[in-house]
Amino acid sequence: MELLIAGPLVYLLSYLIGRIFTEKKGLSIVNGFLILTACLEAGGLFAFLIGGRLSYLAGIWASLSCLLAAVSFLLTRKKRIEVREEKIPISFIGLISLMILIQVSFSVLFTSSADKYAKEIIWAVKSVEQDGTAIAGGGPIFGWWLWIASLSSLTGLHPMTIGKGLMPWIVIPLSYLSYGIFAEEMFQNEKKPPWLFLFFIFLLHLFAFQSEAMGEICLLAVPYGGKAAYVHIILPYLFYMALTFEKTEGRQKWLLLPVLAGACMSTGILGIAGMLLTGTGFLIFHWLNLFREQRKKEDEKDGEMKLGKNIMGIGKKKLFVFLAVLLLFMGGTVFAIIKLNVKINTLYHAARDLEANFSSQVRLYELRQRGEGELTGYAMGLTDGTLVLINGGDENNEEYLHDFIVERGGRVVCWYITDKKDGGAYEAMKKAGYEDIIIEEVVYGEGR
Amino acid sequence: MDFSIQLVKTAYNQYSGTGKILALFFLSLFVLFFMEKEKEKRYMFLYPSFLLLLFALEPVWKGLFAQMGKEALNRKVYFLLPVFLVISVAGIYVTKIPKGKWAKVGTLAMLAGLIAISGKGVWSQYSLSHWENGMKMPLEQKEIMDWILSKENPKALLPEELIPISNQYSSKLHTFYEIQEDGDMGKLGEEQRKVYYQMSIQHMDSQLLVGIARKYGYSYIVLKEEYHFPKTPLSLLKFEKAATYGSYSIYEDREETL
Repeated sequence: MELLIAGPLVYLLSYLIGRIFTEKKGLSIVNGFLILTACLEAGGLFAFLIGGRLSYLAGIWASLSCLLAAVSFLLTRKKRIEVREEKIPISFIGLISLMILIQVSFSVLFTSSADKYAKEIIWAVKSVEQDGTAIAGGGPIFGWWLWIASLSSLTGLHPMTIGKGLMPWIVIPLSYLSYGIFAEEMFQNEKKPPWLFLFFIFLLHLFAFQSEAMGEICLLAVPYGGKAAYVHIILPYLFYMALTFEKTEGRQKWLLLPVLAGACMSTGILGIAGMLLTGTGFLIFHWLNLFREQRKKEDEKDGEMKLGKNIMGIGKKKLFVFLAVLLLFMGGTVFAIIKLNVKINTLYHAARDLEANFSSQVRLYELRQRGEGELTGYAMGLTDGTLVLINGGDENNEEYLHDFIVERGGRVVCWYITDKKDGGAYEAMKKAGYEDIIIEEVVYGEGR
Repeated sequence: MDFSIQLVKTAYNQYSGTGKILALFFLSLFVLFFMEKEKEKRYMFLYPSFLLLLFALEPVWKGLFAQMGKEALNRKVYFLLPVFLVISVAGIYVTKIPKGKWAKVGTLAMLAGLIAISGKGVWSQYSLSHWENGMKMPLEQKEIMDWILSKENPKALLPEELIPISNQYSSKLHTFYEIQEDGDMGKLGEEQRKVYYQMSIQHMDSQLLVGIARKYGYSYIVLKEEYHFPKTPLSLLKFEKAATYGSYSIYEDREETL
């Protein structure tokens, strides 16, 4: 029940708070969610500094969020009635909902190896159980886990349930919303590209994992992770902001920047550097645009043709940059290949040494019928005086095998019998009930 | 329903891509470099992607990063952060090239196929979770945790696979060591390493394990019956079986009471 209330409540509060910035519904939800995250981050830092409790932080955060939502609702109520948004086709909403549903179901129903090391949940558990915000290893400087901890504190549910059961319902739809608003801005006045873009995103979510190292940013594997939230909610929003930076009202954009920086910092990616990079990145864009506009005006004034165009229509500058980058990477690749070659050689020598070492420590025996007949199996003598047997022949080989095992310590840690016909010796020994040998484990192959 | 889930699961398990998403990412960057007409947009995609890529792949930069320590080295994968955006936007540009309707559909299908095969067969790492407890946590493991947590001294030596899940379940359950977020064991002490090793092998040195458990006041040892075969039975060392949940058994130290 708590899960059913908490999820929609987060969306409602985000939507109401975000309305103050924009008239678009989707955008207001993303804006509001980022504000809630930044508030939580700031509150977490403050609580950490004064040694405050998690329950107080969660309570104050929830109350402030409700208050903020109420105030922004009152401020924007009139505006809401006046402005009508263009309707989105039902088929488009249905398709996107289906994609989100598939992804959320996958995240909720399946568990991956990345799930094992859910540090956000571990920190949230510590925080909830100790009712504190100063958690070793996961301080509130990167406080994305405070989402899990606060919601757990407010609903009384275990952080694992919040992280693995509720967070996919919040993070995955929000991620599509964030990608959606970016696509809408990127492909203005075009109908098909935005949904095609989201379709590609969906496919990439389903198939494109580079490696286990990328598990932390994989939304399917860790929908409760800060880094996944950064890549799939904040990054598309950053790109959207970069596209609209010049169009955004002055006061609004300078207010959104610290909000975005706070949300960015909470996810823990690049830490404080992430926040600084975000800020400086925008400033660079801002100044570059100003500089370009000024230059454009000057060019128009002079009425001169720009230099650097060749007959193929490709700018010389562009070609030069392309070749420079290619050269840089080619040089890097050659260097990397040489390094790889050295590594392979080292590995080869190490493997050869290992093989020699292994051969000197492990003894391999052939088992023959009564010691001299046909080959019936193999035995490995390990360094600790134990044996591993593979097959061993029929019941006539029982005596020989018994003596063989006794001579070599009398202890078999594993007897692997690949086929029924090769297990006769073992069955006979079992019947005989020898007390001077120990057979710890018998494994039968598929042939039995 | 179960059958269809099983079918989907088998299909996922059998899927194995090429893992060449990096090549697709490169290709997409070049597509954006040549096809995006607006300079601002072009810079927007190329600025973070190329810079981060430069840091990640270029040996000189990589070397410099490596000097800054392990944490910095891990950041080499950050060039992949804008990968979703870059590939998807480049995909849109490519679909705009063909003129005819069917040519467009063909291009779209080809791109979808490219994305699918550029991934990596990681589905085999997934398994259906148990939803009995709403935590994606197998029931038997939850019962073990609850049993130990109900005791006065909730300190237990656990098999390696139970450590991460127990850390997520409760910080009150002492597990002698924790496994780092990436499975790294670097911060473990010598005795912690010994326990980790003994719990991970089939024929453990139970005397060593019991010695360490008693030294640090750990009253419980959890073994997986179908896997662990101690060299000396734990009952001979006065650790008696107290409870069994699924394939796991909890052994309790009875030395003082006997």
